[in-house]
Amino acid sequence: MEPSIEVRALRKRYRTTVAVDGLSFTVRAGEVTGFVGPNGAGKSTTMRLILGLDAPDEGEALVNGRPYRSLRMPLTHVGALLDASALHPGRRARDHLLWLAHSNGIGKRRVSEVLDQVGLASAARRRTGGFSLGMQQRLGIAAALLGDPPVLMFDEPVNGLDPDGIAWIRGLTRSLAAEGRAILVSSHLMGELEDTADHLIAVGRGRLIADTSVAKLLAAASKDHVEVTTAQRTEATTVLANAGATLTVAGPETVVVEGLPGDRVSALLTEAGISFSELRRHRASLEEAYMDLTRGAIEFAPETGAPAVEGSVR
Amino acid sequence: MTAPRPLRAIRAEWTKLRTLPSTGWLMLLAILGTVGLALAITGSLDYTHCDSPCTVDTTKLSLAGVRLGQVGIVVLAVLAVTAEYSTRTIQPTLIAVPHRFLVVLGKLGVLAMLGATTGVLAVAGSLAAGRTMLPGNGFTAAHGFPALSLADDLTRRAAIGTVLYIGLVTLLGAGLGLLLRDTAGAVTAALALLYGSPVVATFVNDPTWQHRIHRFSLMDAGLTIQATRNLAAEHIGPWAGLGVLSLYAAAAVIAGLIVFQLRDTH
Amino acid sequence: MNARESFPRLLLAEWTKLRSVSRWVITLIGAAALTIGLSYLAASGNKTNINAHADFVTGPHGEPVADAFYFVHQQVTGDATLTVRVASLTPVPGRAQLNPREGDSLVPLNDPSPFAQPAAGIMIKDSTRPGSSYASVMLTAAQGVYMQWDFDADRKGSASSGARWLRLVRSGNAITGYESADGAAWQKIGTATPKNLPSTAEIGFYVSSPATVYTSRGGGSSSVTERPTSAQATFDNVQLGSGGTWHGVPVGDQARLDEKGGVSGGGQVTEANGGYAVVGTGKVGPRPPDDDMVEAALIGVIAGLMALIAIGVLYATSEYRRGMIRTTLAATPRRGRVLAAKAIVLGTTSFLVGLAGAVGSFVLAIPVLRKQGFTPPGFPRPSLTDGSVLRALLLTAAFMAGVAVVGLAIGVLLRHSAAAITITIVLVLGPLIIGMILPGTSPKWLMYTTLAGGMATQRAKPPTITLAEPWAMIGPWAGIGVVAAWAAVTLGLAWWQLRKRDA
Repeated sequence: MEPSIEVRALRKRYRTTVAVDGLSFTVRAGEVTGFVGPNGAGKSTTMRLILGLDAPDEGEALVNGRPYRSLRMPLTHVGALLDASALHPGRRARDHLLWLAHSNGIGKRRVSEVLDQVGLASAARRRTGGFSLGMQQRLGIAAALLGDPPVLMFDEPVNGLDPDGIAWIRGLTRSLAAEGRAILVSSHLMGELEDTADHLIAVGRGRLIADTSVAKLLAAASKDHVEVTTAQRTEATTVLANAGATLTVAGPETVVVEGLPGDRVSALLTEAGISFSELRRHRASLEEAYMDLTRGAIEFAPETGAPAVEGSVR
Repeated sequence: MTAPRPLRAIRAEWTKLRTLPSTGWLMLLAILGTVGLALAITGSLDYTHCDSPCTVDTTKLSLAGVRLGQVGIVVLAVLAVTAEYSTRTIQPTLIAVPHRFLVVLGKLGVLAMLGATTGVLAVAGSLAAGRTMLPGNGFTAAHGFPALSLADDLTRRAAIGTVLYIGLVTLLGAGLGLLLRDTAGAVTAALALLYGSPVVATFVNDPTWQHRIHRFSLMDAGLTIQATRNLAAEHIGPWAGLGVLSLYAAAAVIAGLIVFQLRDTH
Repeated sequence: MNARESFPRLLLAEWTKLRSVSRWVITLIGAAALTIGLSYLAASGNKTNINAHADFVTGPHGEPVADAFYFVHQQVTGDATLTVRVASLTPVPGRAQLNPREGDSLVPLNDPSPFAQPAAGIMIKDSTRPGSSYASVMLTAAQGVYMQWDFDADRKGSASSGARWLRLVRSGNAITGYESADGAAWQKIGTATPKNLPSTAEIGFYVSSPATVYTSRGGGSSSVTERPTSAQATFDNVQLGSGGTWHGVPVGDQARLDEKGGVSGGGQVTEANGGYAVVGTGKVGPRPPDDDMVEAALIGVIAGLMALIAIGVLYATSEYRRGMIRTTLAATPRRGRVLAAKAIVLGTTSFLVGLAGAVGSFVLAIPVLRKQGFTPPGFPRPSLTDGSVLRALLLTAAFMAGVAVVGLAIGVLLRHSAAAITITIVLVLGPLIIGMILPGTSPKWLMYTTLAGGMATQRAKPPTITLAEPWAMIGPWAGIGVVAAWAAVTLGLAWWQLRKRDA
């Protein structure tokens, strides 16, 4: 069957706080699924529930169609990087992978392979107590890859990495997805998933906000946005506003027009005799799209009225 | 192709412990502590200072070093569990082996094995110390003290019992670790359980109470099996004493297991 | 900022660190509760029936006493003066000698008290009933001349060991003792007013020779054996104003001593050449029971101590987790001061917790012990205002604080909770366990060198080797001294290492 993660109506409460509140989504094979939300939105808890570390109060999480706890050799089904610093400082890097390998009947050769793959071969005999954050992260990814699993989960994989490391993880994630694996990558910064994720699951306060492909999301966020570059910015603004557009000044000579199609903008400006050097469809960044999505869903944002999402759900 | 799950769990836990330098050091500490004290005690015994008839239990005294040496193996057992929480490696452990009973089984299996190995070496060293030191101090066959030998039924029982004792306190330590999850708390609890009651017994002068405390304190009851002379004076039978210790160890392990199964892994 | 000004703030900062971890606060409260709870519960495990013993003798103040000697006496009414010369005092080669084998396994108790010496002297006594009021002047075998009265009071005279003239003068209720080398020049030793001396009393000369106490301990128990001894003295120049007849009589339960190989009939007197040769046996003096009621009320200290050790170690090692020490040291770059502040905050807190535990234990456990037979006369009711009780409670609290501080210092040195807790606990408990196995006085050096010696702080009575517990061998001040030395040395090492090592 196709490698996948399925989460159905998952709910988890810790004492007084509801960490995950009726979450459902699916992570499909061959795609990188971004899992975004502000800190405390329930991303890590969801991953812990998928991995059977915590027990859900309601709902279920299935990996390749089965609950994680029922897997006989789980590392060959799912590789997970949750907390890269979860290492015994006195143990050597290679030995950390070795005990994981033994627990799932994986051979020693595979340990050397993954160490090579993440670029830690030269540090394999070193105790992890002296590892930098980046090396810990690489070792964690090596552990996730150990069983050559069809499903991978990375929780905030680029935290604390230098630009080289971030580029490396992006490349690795893309190539793993290209091999047909199902990959779930969480982040609290949307920008990190730009160019990486194919699909997006956005959560806020433990609830699903969006479950959509990145292409659709960007298209939705970019819809009806036209960017005009003109020396006569003030005049252009007046004309377009009178025609019913919403305008945002984006630079000394740039205006973003919302609410009017591009050809209509072009016609209006030409009609008014306003010269413009460039007129193009505005492409929203993933960050902007995400901000639109999560506005009001951020738990610790200053209170400026009723949260938009709550209102829209009702 | 692959081994059954319990064996894989044991192998993983063995690799985990084997690859930590502290494991070897703590085992060495346990063995050297036991044998060192055995040397000190048997070296300071003197037949000419003994009552007539001399009723010194040379086997028991030679093996008395475990009272001190056990600290090493108990701490090893506690750390084997609680370090998983303090370093958070419990997370990869449970991701690799989601079946929690298997994790506990693997850990206890390996610890019992390490405990028994430590016990065998410590007991062998202690008996060798006794054999070396005692004849020079007048405890000779001519005085009714043949050299300590496993051919002697009671000495053999004491030796086997001491190995079992060390294995059981190892399991006790692991059980307390599972139950409390906190290194400081579990180490303190284990040492207090082991050493607290004998100390309290010296404060108490009522023989009935002393009898009760000796019967039901882990260390005194568990080590009664070391006695080879004047068995009637002991507070509990040798195997019953080990039984008392097993009950404590089992209680700690079962309680730890239940907590481990029910609680989330934070 | 002026360093001197900032130290109180540093103390406040460290105190905030300690009290803001709710787990530690609960453990601290738990330490006191554990101490009190265990003391209360375990108090019922102690029992004594010493007051029911047939040979139990009480003195004029109601305290347990020994009163056995050979008395050559006559009745005298009103004021009187008795003078004698003790020509010689020699131990009688006893029938009660130990055989050499026994002598090696048993350790003789060396009691330095002037009441524990073979003695020959003169005495005025209420009656020949054991325990009755008296005053005496005597030549002891090794400690010179003494005046003693009512079993617990004494005045030292000269250090003379040879023949000596002794004189007792009764004037009303006051008895004055004198000694002289030649019978001409007299030196006053002291004046006493015994509690119950009727106008008609017994006066005379006597010989006593306390039994040698041997102890055998080890293997978790102790036993005490008494071997009677006897002494012979020659008295001459016996002068009493009224010339009555002298009667020799053994005072006390001599039959019991006889059984154990003592002097037949408890002694004898023979008259020769105008003098008297007297053989006597027994002891005249205090005889407190070995058990220490205050110590028995403080059993729970051992439990509270464990909790305090854990707190002390964690107070240090928790700084090294997650790099908090860098924040601390950035806030106060002078590392020695941080350590000093930590030690002061922890020491003070532990002392107060320990004191609460000790006082609570005392208040709750003493009534239980009283129900278990710890009653006067064997065990006078201890009060919080007794010097020895106050000392025991305060030093016990100091002991607990000191051990917690050692835990802190070892925690700083090792930066590893499990190792530091184990080492500190083993330093306290290991020597106790080993000390109970080791025979004779050999555990004494363990008590003088390890934290276990601090257990001696719980005792209100003087050191003794007659008990199974090894810490009873050293005094409370020695005990707290050992703990203070450990605290000082480990803190010093921690300070040195803190300066030297990188955080």
